[in-house]
Order: sequence, then C-alpha cells, then structure tokens
Amino acid sequence: MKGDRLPPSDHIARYCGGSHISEDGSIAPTAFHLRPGEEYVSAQWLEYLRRKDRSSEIREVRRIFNEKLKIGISARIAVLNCGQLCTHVEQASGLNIKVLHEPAADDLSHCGIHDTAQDEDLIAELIAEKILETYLAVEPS
Amino acid sequence: MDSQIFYTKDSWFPSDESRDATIPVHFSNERQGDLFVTGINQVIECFDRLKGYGAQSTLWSYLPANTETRQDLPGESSSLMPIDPSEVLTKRYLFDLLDAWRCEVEIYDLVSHIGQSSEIINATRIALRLYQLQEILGEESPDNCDMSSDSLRSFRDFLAFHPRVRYPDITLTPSGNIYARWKSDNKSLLSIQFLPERKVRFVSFIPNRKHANELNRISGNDFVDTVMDTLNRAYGVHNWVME
Repeated sequence: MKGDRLPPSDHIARYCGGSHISEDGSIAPTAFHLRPGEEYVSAQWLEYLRRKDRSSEIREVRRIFNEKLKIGISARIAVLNCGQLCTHVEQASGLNIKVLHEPAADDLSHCGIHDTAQDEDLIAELIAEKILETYLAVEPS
Repeated sequence: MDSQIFYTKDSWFPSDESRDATIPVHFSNERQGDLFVTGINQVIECFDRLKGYGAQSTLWSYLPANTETRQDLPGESSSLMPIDPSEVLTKRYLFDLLDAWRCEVEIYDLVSHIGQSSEIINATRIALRLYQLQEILGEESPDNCDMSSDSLRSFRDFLAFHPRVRYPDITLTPSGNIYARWKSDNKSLLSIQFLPERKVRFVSFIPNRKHANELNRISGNDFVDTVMDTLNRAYGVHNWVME
C-alpha cells in the first residue's frame, strides 16, 4: 500500500538514463539524484511483480519503463537491496533514507527512495556503492 | 562586443506594447555573433513554412563594425515570425528564439572552447565526452535541451584554473549539471557537481589516516577557483586528482 516501507530483504530497480552512465558502463551516482520537481527517487519494487526469477522481473521492468520513457541504448537498470542501501547510508553518513511503496494507477510496483535531499550528492554516492546488479534497459536482441 | 536585435510589430499588437523593440544581445566574440545569426536564419527557414498566420514583423540583426544583416523572408517585404493574432507572443517568442540559440548553439560553442584549449591537458578527450553526453540527451529527451550551459561555463572555468587535472568520469545530473568524478586506487573519491555562477558542490571519500579500512566522507560547497585548494589543504587530493 502507498506509504508502506518495503521489506529490507526486498529489491528495487532504478532506471538510469544514458547521461548517468560512465564511459566504462558503470552507473554513476547521478542516476540517484532527484529530477526537477521530484520528491523521491523513483524505482520499481521487484518482489511486488511476483515473477519466478530475476530475468522475468527485469523483462517486466523493461516493459514498464518502455511505456513511460524513451529508452536509449546506453541506459541501464540498477538493482539494489532495500535493507542494504538504507543501512549503508545510515552507517556511512548518519543520515536516514527509506524506501516506500508509491503505487500509481498504471504502475502498481512503483516505489521511491525518500529523504535523499538531505545531502543529495553524498547519499547518491553511497547508494551507488550498493548496486548489486546492472542490466541493459533495452531488451537485448 | 554588442549586437542588437531590432524588430517592429504591426498595429494589431496591444496598444500598451511599444511598436518597436530593441533587445541588446551581448556576444563574447565575433564567432558567437555569427553563430547567432546562423541560428536565427535557420529559424527563419523553419517558420517560412508557417507563413500566412497573419502578423507581420521584421527581425533585424545589427552586428558591429558596420555589419548589417536584414533578415527578410524571400518574396515578402517584412514577414518573419508567423503569429496567431489571438496570441500576443512576439516578445516572448523572441526570447524563445534566444533561449533556443543558447540551448543548442551555446553548448557546442562552450564545449568547442574547452576542446581547443592548448593548456588543458585532457581538453580533447573532455570535449568529446561532453559532445557524447549532449548526443545521448538528444536521443533520450529530444524535446529538452538538458545540459546546463551555466554549469558547463563553470566547468570550463574550473578547467582553466586547473588545466592539469586528470581526466575525470563525466556524467550529468538530472538537472543537466556537469558531474565530474575522480577515483584513486586506495578508495579515495572526489566528485564535483558544477553549478551556475562558478559554484560547486563536492563529495570526497578519504581513507582515515589512523583507522585502517575506514573512510572519512565529507560533502560541501565551494567555488571553481578554490575547491581544489580547500580539499588539498585538508586531504591532499592533488596527489591523485592532478597529473
């Protein structure tokens, strides 16, 4: 439900546009900065999708992103664990962030990383350190 | 170097609007002026297709050194900007033209300026990366010009103050600001986000001198001409950020 904290064991997927991808293909911390007007960093709740495995989850996430965004060939999807990223930010900086369910009518798995604006540049660097997996945002042919 | 855009409007504009308006546009060199005129010409060609909305206006561009260019559409004495008579948009429209020019042309002009520097040791590589980022933005959000020219200007000035800086990892924030990152082998990190007006925000991770495997993590605000001195005095960043 809206506003519920995601379980620490669960995972989120964040769309990272091409301008946030380093030349070596890694995801830069700028992928976790707020877009103008945003209150939280948007992501997708993977376990909410109830798919059998990560590959299926990523396929579904690609479909969702494709409906909302113009996906570039250099864009990526970053997968993070909710508990790890919140704990790491708190331990490294003393700042608390939280990942909350933010369902939309056309996107029930939508969620958000809240309270990154406290010290956005520092928190984004710390979040980027906890990326577990990356995938191409475009479905490989 | 100053140039002026001078335009006239027809009588159906609201009476409280001045019939004639002059907008001063300042260029830092003649090439910028040429680029601006080129850009306006391109806009003229684009809107030539929309001729016939009704209003008449003429855009004049005065360049220094007795150079004068009159931008008239062929076949009509004074048609330039097609305007719906129900909307009074001329002044805003001209500012939109200037914004569009700034957005598209100024970015490339600033990047070119960096790339042509003989003092910045990684000038070409940095410029190529910036061009690449601008292309990526064009692919993913073609309706927006997202690289901030104000941030780019600050980054250019930073490079002018620190021409021997190592080649950084360069990306953009969602606001279009330049974000440069340097990492060393011992987990040290310096990230700088370039803001307008020569301001910067930085993040630095530095190994703690007394506690092995621990990092000091700091963030702050500074300026392009002082940030490296600030961080070098405290943390010796020059050792791994400078060539």
